[in-house]
Amino acid sequence: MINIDIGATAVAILTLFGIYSLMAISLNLEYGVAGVPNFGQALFVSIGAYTAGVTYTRILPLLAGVESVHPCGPTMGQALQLRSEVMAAQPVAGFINLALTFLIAAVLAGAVGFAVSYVTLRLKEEWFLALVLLVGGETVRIVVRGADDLICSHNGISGVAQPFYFLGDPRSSSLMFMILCVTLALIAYVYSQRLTHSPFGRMLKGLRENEDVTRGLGKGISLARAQIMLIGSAIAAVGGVLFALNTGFVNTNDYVVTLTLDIWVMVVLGGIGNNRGALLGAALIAILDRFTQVGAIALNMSGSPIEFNYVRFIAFGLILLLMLRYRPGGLLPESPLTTNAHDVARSMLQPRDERS
Amino acid sequence: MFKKVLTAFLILMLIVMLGAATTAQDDMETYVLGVALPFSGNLGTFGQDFARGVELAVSQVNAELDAARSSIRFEIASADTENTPEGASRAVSTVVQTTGAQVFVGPLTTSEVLGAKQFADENGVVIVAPASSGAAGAIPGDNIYRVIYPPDVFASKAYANIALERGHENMVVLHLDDPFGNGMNEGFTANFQAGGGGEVASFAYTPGSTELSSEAAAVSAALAGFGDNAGFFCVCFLSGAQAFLQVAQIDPVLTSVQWMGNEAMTAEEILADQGHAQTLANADFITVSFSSESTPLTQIFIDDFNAMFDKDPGIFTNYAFDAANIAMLTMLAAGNDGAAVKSMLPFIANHYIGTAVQAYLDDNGDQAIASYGLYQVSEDLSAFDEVGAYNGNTDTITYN
Amino acid sequence: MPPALLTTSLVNTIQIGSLYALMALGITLTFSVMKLPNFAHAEYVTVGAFAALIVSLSGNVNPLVIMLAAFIVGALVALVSHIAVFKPLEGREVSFYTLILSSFAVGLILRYILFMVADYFNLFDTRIRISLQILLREGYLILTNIFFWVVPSSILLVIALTLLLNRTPLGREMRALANNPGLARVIGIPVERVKNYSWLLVGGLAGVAGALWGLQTAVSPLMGWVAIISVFAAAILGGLSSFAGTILGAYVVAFSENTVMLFLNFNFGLDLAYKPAIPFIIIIAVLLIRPQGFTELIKRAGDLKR
Repeated sequence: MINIDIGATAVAILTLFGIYSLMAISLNLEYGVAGVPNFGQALFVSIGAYTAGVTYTRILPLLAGVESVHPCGPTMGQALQLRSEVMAAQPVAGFINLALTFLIAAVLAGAVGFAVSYVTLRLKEEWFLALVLLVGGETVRIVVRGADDLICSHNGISGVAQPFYFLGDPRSSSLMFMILCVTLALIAYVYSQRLTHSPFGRMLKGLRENEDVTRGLGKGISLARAQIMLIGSAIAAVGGVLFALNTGFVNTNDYVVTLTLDIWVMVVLGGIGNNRGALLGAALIAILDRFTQVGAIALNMSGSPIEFNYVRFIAFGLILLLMLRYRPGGLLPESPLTTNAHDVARSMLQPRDERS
Repeated sequence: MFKKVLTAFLILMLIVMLGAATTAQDDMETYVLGVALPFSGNLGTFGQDFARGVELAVSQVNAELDAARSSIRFEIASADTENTPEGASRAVSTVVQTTGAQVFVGPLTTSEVLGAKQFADENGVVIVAPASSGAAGAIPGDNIYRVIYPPDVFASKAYANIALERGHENMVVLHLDDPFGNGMNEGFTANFQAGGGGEVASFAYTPGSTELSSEAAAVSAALAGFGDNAGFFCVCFLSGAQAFLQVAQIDPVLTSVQWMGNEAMTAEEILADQGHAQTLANADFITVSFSSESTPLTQIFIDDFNAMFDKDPGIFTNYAFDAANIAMLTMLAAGNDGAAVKSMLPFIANHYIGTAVQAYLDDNGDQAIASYGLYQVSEDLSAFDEVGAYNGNTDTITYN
Repeated sequence: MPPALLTTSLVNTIQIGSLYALMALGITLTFSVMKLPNFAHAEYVTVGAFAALIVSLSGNVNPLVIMLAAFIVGALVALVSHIAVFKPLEGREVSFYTLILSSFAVGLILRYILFMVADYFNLFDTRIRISLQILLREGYLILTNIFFWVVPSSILLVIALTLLLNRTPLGREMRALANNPGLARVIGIPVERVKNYSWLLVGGLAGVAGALWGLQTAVSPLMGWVAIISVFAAAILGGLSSFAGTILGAYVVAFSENTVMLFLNFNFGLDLAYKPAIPFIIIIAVLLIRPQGFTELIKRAGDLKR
């Protein structure tokens, strides 16, 4: 029996939209604006998530003034209980902890992104960087998975609760969390719009289109790319923190290549090089994921022998292929970047009758 | 073009949903039983089989309700966890927000269960996990009940006892690199050494590996290093066990020692290969399996499953069947309400006798009764025969 | 490292390396001739394995028939994916990453079609019905019938492919296409036809590799996907352009995953759980330090671009 809870569904979709937007905006800045093919998005997202796993187990007890227990091993359950109590009873500690998490995650991921961008200089072809980042992400995942104390290796850390947990009522706490996610996404959007339309952003796009010309203009290419990687990676890590909080559980199994591909699909669907496109792509994936899942539930209920949970992935692949074939620029293709001077010059050059 | 396709697709979805919504009969009360299992990913086999177990339980309960002229019917709403924690969280929340389901059967692994935990706890949704047994999931007071399969502390003790009884001085363990495999390995090592055993050499393999030749070589070398009186213990999922057997069956060291292994290795797919079955028989392979044939319901379940799906139930499928029954019985008693189900489920579970054994829940909401059967390959290599029993609560092994 | 361990790991290196070579050659060929890093290659392998499985379940079938079936099915699937997806994209001058993404999408679709097939026909965790026999035992050296299927078949196929590339008109046309597509078109090479044949060849080889890979493990819809990174590492070691380099790369990857991993495990206690990281580290190291791979070392033996 299908009985859709429209309010809760909308909140869930919007929460995912906010989280995905951060990831998509990050990739759009890196690839769409600066031309760095980051196929290691899962790595930067996971840095945020792992940071949350560490701060919730090490810093949160300190902030709340309780004695911390080792999060892994035999005291795992006890530590979890402690976290839940703190998150329910001491919202201020929860918020300070979250702010610190964002900060540490952004700094860590930014530093990694900055370092990675210098690797570009050593690579013969641009797409090698894509591959290096792709496998680099997986390597880090395997190492974290094996590290005993960081996030309890393969066990992961549960009880990484979202900060509005103390409200008690799931409807209002998830609503507040959704507002947090969407707000952060919008801030990232406004910031990246400004960045894209600044002289720095135009230079980066120039760099993407033609490295030699921009180099000829004497701009510091490697530093510019490094800066954008720093910003993009930090945004992705913020998205990763929210991604982990939304599930309430940090585990290496979530940060695999498929996550990276999903983010790429968002950017390609929306329109590469266009921040608005990134938002649209994030929204589409959040909606499409929910719709296909609901469709699979409904169709499986109808008693067909086909397993619609598989059809869901096939439909997803087909939509992506159709999109790549018929709208390779995305739904919102990149518009040419112009300055005010350009607009004025253009209007002056146009014939009078067309201008009115 | 794309817009047209997308619009057509969305309209189709809408029609489907409306269609499904209107087919519900008016005078009937429908309780939705949520199912969240890994249909895709490397545990697809288990996901599908578990779903069939739930389907069988629902059809039987519905038939009984029909005969009793009850106005209540159960319906399944299933979603794919994609075998990731975040996927499990999305699967559970989607089913809840789409159908209003309050009770779930699934997910499968401990990390998936923990992924769904936050949503379930916050929204008062009850999760009845049929086969999660990792120590990380033993949490008191939450909405997760692990009703049938007892925590691995019991089984790891049983294996340690058998190893000591067989006179093994040292042991080599090959285990999955996940909470289940690592937990079993740690528990086994501790119990084996506490009981006077010597060294334990452990090797981990990545879940989903399709090829384990270097792992087999490492196990073989470690066994050779230990010399006589060493034994081998495999904690593997089915596909890993198959890949391992494929290379181990020709290894001179591995084929000359005694083996133990977890119950995933007793699947019929293993016996389907003559070489694999023979290897296990020669190695005195023994497994400690929770699916004991000691209740009269086991055979009935197997027959009913065969009648409905025209195939034998897979390994563990009966746990899903039992978990679904406990969930539905609780819902019949407490109503379609998460909080009521949560408070009543331990009572119902403690009075339920299933296809394996009775359930009895401890403070963590986990199965506390630990009576296992011991199984070995039969002489004609066609099946696994029960050769003894292990009572985890008294820590005793008896042979038939 | 004890001699038994060394011997076994070397045998495994040869057996697994041969399979990696068979799979990686297709990737090198697609990259050279079609300018496409094809991640859907993994699924051509899986499709071949399923074809082999289904044929083998029908009774006592000769392994050659099984491999032939895998070749045909793999070839057809590759050709269909070319005609339906990659060819229309090529005409549009799309970006390199669009091609990568579309190859992932093709792989996704194929993978879940296989999931549906496996679910519908109950083929999960089923093995190809060829039982293992020991054919040679000499000290620590143990060779099985599967070894004698896998290794000679791979070597013969590799030789056949090299001959085809170097000695036949089709091979010359493929090499011309790899070198300079524009020029190839100008001098009257039937580009589309050559591409179609190349895809058939690539898919067929992947299919056979899948059948042979399936002989030594369980067939599952994810088996190709699991192996693809190791295979890509092999192709990258070959500089994505050299056949000989790719084959050498395949054995280097297999050697690292088996002998080197076991050496590190036995002597330094490195956990075997880190094994999946080996091909990753190889890829990163090669791309950063020596992106041309083995191409110059081998001095263009069997090089597609010369």
